[in-house]
Amino acid sequence: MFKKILIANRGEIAVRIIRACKEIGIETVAVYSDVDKKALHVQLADEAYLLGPAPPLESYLNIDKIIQATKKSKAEAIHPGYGFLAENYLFSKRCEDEKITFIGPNSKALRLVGDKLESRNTMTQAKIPIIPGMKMKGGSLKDFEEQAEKIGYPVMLKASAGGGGKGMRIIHSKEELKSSVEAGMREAKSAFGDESVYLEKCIERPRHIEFQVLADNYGNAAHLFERECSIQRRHQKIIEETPSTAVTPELRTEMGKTAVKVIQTANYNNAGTVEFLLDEKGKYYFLEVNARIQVEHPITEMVTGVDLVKSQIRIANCEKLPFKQEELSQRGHAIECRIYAEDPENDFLPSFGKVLFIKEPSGPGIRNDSGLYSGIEVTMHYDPILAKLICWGENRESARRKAIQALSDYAILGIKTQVNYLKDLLSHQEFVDGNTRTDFIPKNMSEWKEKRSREKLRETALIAGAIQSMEKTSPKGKMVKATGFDPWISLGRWEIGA
Amino acid sequence: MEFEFNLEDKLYKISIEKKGDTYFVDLGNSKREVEFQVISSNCFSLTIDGHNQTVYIAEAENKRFIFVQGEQFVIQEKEAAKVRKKEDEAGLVDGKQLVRAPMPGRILKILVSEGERVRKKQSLVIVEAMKMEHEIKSALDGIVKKVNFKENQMVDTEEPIMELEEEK
Repeated sequence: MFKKILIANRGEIAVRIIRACKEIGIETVAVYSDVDKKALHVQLADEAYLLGPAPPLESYLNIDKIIQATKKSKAEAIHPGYGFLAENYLFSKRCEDEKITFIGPNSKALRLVGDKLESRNTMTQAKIPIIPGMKMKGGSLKDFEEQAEKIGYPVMLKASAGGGGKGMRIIHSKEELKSSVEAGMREAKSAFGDESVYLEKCIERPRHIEFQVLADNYGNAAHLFERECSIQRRHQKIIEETPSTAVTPELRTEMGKTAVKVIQTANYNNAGTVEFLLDEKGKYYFLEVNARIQVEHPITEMVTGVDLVKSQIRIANCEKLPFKQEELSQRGHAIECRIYAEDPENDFLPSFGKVLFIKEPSGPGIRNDSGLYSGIEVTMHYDPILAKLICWGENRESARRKAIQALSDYAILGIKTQVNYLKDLLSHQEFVDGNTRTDFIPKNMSEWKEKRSREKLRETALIAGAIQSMEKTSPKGKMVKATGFDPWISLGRWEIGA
Repeated sequence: MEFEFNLEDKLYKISIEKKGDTYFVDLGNSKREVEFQVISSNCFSLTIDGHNQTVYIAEAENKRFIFVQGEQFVIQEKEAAKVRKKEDEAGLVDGKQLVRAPMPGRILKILVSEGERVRKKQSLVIVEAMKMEHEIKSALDGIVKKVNFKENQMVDTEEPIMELEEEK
């Protein structure tokens, strides 16, 4: 087993990976940018190296600096997390050349599945069902116009190098094409360093169903069932669940087999997710392979009992897959809610600043994956995801109710989050009924406003504020000042006697 | 003691009297008897007319953030609440509209120039933060009077990026 692993990421996923390493008994190395000096992943790791200024290209996306830190720390492997360099085959190739283990797929497979267009073509040859669309990236605007006409509006613009909704847009008409293509290219360039985009047919009202697959270095592969991720805002998933209400046991077996075939066709190893769209008629199409640990991986862990991050590390360590397909099963139901630093009452604009105080919910079946603590500064430089709340129940309804209750107990003070929006979404009758399609949010949540009765609670807040003010003025007051954070935290890294 | 708090753009007057361990609170339209325990510097336990409520509280500058049963409230003592130059219903100040940054970020692209005529809902500027692009659109038909920023400059929340004049 590796003695030391460098985690080339930040935020909740870096924390998640550090924990997995510690449980196995592997030393951890964190890397960070100027604004992340006090981040939780830096505090938890055994060693930490400064990469540089906040912009990702000068820090978390800078291959040279990360390789330097790996050599300096003598780490034997790099876990890239998700986002940043996770699906960059040049990075994976560089690791191979430098004799550093990249915890993820081999660079050839990564290159193939990372190129959405090339993988579409490869999968067509393997008779995997794909969405009709362009076979090559678009060049001139005229080229896009012609292709869009050929495919038929509405069309979906996608980044060839992309994932996670970056650079992605639905285009309804020729008038929208120019600005959408330009914006998509800019977003793709800034997110992936590659501005190639292409168009495919827009499948109306689909469900987004993905299968988690693990494959070892010896050709063994098994899927760990599906995750439904249809609840998306601007192509950004916000709630995921497993099992899916739309997947029957027969369909699960069939899609699972297809997913494993996709992985084997690509000669892919380590953890990967095969994404499908499921249309209203129950027909499914291969979308892409997400060649990384995914944000929503915990729900699979909750129902299968398999630790995916540890599995990734073990596979990278050339261990064989410890189970066969028929030994895996799903138990109960899990729902993940992504907590974003966004203001749902103000068009979901990002919200920054200091998290003055945080109290995460707890209880049986409740899991928090987060990089937050009271006093942390949320900056504008990175993805607005703050934390993930994962709830498990014996069935869907109990998981749903647990998630709503847990969200009600989630106190994050100082910045805006969309916790109440998530609560209302989970309470919506269409969600209760399992009618989850990718148009769920525009259809059911576009008119959303804070509507619960706050009258009584407002009174409580005023009383609390007034009593606090009164106690502050009294020399014998019960408390002096409710500061936003503990001074020990703001001290950062320190050593006694240093 | 008397307190005045600004909460959700409304002013509330509260008077409190403490007798023994009980606080008698008068909110104008209702009177409450409250017991109060400090759990930690960020957590209070209140018993209001016999009902228990746990409240989380945190402070920054002049604001106090208070969390009660899943809801967050922000209160400010009266004198701390700042007043901005009055805008009318359409957001116009002296017949001009200030196009403000909705959040801190980087000016990615300025799509119009001074003197240009713009239509309602026309995109004016793209601001980028957290890797997401946000287009700011015109709220009126008018003329761009002044552009205060250049592309790639950083902008803070509420800062006026440009001024528009309504076309009559």
